[in-house]
Amino acid sequence: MALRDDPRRRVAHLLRRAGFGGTPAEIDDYTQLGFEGALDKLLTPAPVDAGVADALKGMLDDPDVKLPALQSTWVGQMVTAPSPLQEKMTLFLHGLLTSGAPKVREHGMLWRQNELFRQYAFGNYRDLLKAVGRDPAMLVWLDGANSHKAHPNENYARELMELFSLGIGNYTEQDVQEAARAFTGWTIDRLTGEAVFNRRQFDPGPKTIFGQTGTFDDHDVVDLITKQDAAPGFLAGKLLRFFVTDTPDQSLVDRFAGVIRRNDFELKPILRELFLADEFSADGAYRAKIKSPTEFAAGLLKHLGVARPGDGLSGLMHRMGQDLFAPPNVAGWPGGKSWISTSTLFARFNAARAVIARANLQPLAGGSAAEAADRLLYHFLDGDGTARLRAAVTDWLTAKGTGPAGLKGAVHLVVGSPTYQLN
Amino acid sequence: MAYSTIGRRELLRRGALFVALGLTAPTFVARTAAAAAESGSSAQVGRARTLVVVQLAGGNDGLNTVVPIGDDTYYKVRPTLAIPRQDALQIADGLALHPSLAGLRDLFVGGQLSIVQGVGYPNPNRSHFRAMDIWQTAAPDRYEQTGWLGRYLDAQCCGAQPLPPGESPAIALADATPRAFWNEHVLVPSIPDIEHFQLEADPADHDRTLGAFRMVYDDDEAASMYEMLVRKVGVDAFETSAELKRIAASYKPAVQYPQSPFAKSLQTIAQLLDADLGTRVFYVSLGGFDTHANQKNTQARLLKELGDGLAAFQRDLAAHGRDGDVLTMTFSEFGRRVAENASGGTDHGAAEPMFLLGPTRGGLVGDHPSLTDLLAGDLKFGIDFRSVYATILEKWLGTPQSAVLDGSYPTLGFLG
Repeated sequence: MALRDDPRRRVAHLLRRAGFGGTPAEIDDYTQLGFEGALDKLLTPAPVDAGVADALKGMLDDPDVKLPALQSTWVGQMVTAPSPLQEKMTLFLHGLLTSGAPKVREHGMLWRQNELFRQYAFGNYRDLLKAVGRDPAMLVWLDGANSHKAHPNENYARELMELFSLGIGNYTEQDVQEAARAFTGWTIDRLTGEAVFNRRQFDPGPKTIFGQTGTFDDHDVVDLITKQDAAPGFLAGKLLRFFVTDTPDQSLVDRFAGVIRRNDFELKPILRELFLADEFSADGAYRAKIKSPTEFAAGLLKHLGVARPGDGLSGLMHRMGQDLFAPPNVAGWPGGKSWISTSTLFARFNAARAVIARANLQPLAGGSAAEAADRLLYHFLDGDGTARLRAAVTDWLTAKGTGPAGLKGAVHLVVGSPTYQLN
Repeated sequence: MAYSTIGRRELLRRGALFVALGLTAPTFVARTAAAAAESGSSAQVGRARTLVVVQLAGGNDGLNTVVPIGDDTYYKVRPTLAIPRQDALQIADGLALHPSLAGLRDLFVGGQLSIVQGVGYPNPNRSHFRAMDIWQTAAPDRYEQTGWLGRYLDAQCCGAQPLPPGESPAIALADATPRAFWNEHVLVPSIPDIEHFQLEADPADHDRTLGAFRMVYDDDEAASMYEMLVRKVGVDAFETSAELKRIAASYKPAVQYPQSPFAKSLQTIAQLLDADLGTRVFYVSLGGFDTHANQKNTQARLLKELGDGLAAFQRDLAAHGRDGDVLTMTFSEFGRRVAENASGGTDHGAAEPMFLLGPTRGGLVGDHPSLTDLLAGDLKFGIDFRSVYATILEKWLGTPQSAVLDGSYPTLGFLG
């Protein structure tokens, strides 16, 4: 049956892409709403999970908060988030407008940046670009805090155009140099860790950017950038690659550039059109993206009912190839096929084993081997999985029994399967 | 249903499928397939010339690595950090190695170490991230996705000179694939260490678990390109892991390696070399060189780790008869500033020496940069790093530099 004609599968697909997957009960609940109803529910923002907020309160008061604590707290938030798409957008923005340790030494700043992304997840991308230029973590990460009128540092201006908004080839060196002058003045108050504007370090003189001359400041530069022809297509490509396909056709990118232009960078209606697009629900899109380590970990924890991963998750994530809050470089994670290598695949198998060891498998236990195998494939793979996987899982359960002890190895096989690595 | 060895016909069929996916076939599967197709016996893969790249991450202070002990300016600008003349290991008139590098001094005396001095590029970048990207992509002037060794791999696999079937062209001793290896067509295994490169399971169920996983990955049911890719990487991972276990069981290091993670990685490379996987490039990293403060002890410890590790590696290779076909190159993303700072350290600078070990001509290449003719307080480079790459590509790996580098760079005399 085509994906479009199979409501439950299509909603499960939506929950994997627009969130971190669903348990059978969650998929049933969202299916009840219909696809558009499910999508509208996903597009409703919500405050951070209360338990997570409590944990963070104590954590962020500590100036030496450790990265593993922040990482596992965020993944825990992904598992329990009332608005999984808001969390998924936060992850998207963390990879796009990235900042990270070790350059940003005050890890509390990284969480505050994360809160900014959550706040703008369904907001206006232009406004977010304005806000992120004054974000303390970003001011450290791309050297804005050390950029002065006498010596403007070009790092932020360059990456803003190259990596956040236009792409290489759509601006000149002069645009970068002149924009860098407009970003001077913003620095970090050493006592509070907040961004502050130091008027004496700001260059108020006239600048010429994209052929226009004026006494531009940082927000003016963002307005100029987002008026460039290349800006909507740049964001369209990023959104399509993250949510829909690693290889979007140029015509699809152009179409969504139009959607972005029409909606003036408002993310909520843009995302709505994205998930309603035929391309999103095409049969060829089904399980046709490789899960990132974060998607793999959060989805697995959700499926196993483990809401609060321990800080040991950090090491597992490192081996799988994604240290949240510590991206490999200014361009974030390359994603796509690069997530899977021989060593990261072993890391997934071995991380899954460690997580399964902590889970309560009793609710999935009992019955014949064939019944239990069906139950596992339904629970973890929404009923997908090859005949060979089903046979291997059945063999395992026949030999080891369908009690919690026998289930461990069978669950390991299911979540270690090629199908489970895909969204 | 138990996992059974894949038949030869199946291997050949699958090899064609991987080509269709635009990727090279899994290492050991393809190797066995090629051998099966040719002779039906395990074919001996030729001993290819191999490059080992050693990344010194953080920006190594080159001035205290290859030390201008004959230059009074050096002692003026480095009042607390300068290496005293009597401690330095002299290698030429007015020039010495850091006292921690005794192992490398012996190799230099024995003609197995070339030192290329004053290596850099125009408009040096002082950001760790960007500078490391520049060295790894060999593209200082633009934002390039692929790495220089990745483009070499692409040229080998899919260019005019196709990669012989069955070669495992490159291996990174790292959790993630280094930028230098990023490419379009070739899967590069990353193997942090041999112990962790395996499926973990309860000991009592280990064989059953491994057998079940292999059965699940050795699947030919129709699936998306991505599912095929995951299966393929999985089959490769299980095959490679089994092969590594076999190697680990049979390989005996001929020397005692130092107790450091870096030396352990080098030992793993020696082990993999001994197994003759046809690997042309290995990559390993040693980090911690970002010595803004209290440089003295930190750099001494790291250089000892580097020098002792490389010396043991070289001795081990010689004992296994492989020292003639393994070239090792070190680099860092930048050197450090000429003058020391107020914290007993040095800040990000430019121009650095590179070490080339093994079957080199030995000796010094290029001049030590001047300590008085500076550019914004930094050493001026005399040799473009792409000249070093071009030399290795053309004289060692047998690939024209035009396949990998923008522009054309003069080759240097450190190789035969």
